[in-house]
Amino acid sequence: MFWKKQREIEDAIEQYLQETQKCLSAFSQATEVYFTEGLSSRFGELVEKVHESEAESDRKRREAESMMYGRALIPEHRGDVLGLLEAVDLVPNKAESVAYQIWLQDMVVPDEYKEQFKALVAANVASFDLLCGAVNNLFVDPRQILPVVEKICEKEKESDRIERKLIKSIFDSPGDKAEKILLKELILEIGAISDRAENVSDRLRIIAVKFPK
Amino acid sequence: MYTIFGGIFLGWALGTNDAANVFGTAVASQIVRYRTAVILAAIFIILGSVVQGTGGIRTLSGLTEQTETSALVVALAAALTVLSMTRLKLPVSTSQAVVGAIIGMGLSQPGQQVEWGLLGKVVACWVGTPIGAALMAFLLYPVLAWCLDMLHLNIVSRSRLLRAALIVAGCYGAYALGGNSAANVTGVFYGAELFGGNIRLLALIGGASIASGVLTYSREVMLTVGSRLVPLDAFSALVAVAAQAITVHVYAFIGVPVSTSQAIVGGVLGIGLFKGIRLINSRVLFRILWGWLATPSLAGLMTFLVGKLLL
Repeated sequence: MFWKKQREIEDAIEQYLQETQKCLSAFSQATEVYFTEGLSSRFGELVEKVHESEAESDRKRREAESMMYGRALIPEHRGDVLGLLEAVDLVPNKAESVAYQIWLQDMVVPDEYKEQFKALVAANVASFDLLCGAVNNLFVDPRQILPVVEKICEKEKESDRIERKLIKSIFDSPGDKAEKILLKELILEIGAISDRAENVSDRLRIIAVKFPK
Repeated sequence: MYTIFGGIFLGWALGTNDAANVFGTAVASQIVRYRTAVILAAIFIILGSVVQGTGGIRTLSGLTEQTETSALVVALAAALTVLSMTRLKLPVSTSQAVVGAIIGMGLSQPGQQVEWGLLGKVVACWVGTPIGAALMAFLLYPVLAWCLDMLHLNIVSRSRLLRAALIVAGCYGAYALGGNSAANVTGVFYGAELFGGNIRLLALIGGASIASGVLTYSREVMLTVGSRLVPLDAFSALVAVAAQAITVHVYAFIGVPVSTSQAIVGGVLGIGLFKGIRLINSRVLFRILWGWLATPSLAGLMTFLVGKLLL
């Protein structure tokens, strides 16, 4: 009974993180289908799945947050965790936004750039997977947070490199300027996933450092 | 016997102020509920006063001879000094007010002996209080940090442990407060042989009157002092309260009532020293110095004048 409240909070956070990972996984599948089949009905279904996952993760986040207002956490830790969850939530939001951007704007990625786009998506989804692991460590073993935070930073840098290379390739090639600008926007939007993951990892770094040594 | 009410009034005033030194930070930062804090504080203050309060009572009663009337004057003068300086938002130590009042009364009566050697011991303990608490915090911080780190707790477990530890430290602080401060309330009456010199009864009355102040009128001081003090994280607050409690408890063993306010300031200073950051500025240190000088002087002047003119 003494540990019941604690386990409830840990379970709620774990379920939230799992749901956000489902969202990013659906996003990864959707982009995979898009690069293979284009704007197919299957892609449309997967975009909808991203949306549903994002909505479910919001619901689980609110559940976890409402549990924080019990007395399991002291106010300084409660503030840290609430801020962290709000920051994590920005990542599936962005994934949903990108999926809809492709679907609603009927975006077409030329074949010559598809492999690079796939690499960009993979790097950004990987950064979020690492982030979920780091956040989970806060509730399992805080000593493991900082090493994972460093890996997230590396993934974000990798994403930045791919973005710059891709944008350069697109603007060096002949073609319509407007199309190039749309593709650039899409690249930056995908890259924002790892940017947001890195922002969350910066918060985690500060929380980890606050534990006295 | 009605003269004891002077002491009870002093004890009540002491309780309203000093509760903040043991539970103030925890309550102000909403780690511990106010109601929980005051109930626990009251219980442990009474326990501390009964178990540990007799040493200080013997010390204060030995400073100079007292009658029931002079004891009442001392208690009221100390209480008035504490209340008026609190009202003026000036720092005040009840222990120092009581000692000053006792000495003032002793000096006002011709042929009265003041135990200057004993007074010297008391003053040395006053100086040693913030220094001792600072040293204790300086040593305690890395030790407790290491212990906490070794437990490999996640954030939720750490949070619960810190809350529990703050409650335990607060209870210990309250126990030390009772053991230390019961003498301030009833020490002079032991010297006057009130209640046939029943020292345990006098210690209980001292503790109960302090507890009454904690239970009835400590909220505002607890919330304002707790939040006006340097904002500390939960772990640092734990170290500061623990250092204060240990220091005050040591002086309860020695049998000299000391200032819990100055002990908590010392504790915070010690943490700052360990972390290499200045948590206490020169203004706060000046306030401690002021407490050493002005409080006993004011209370002593009051009892000297009353003793000379009326007794």
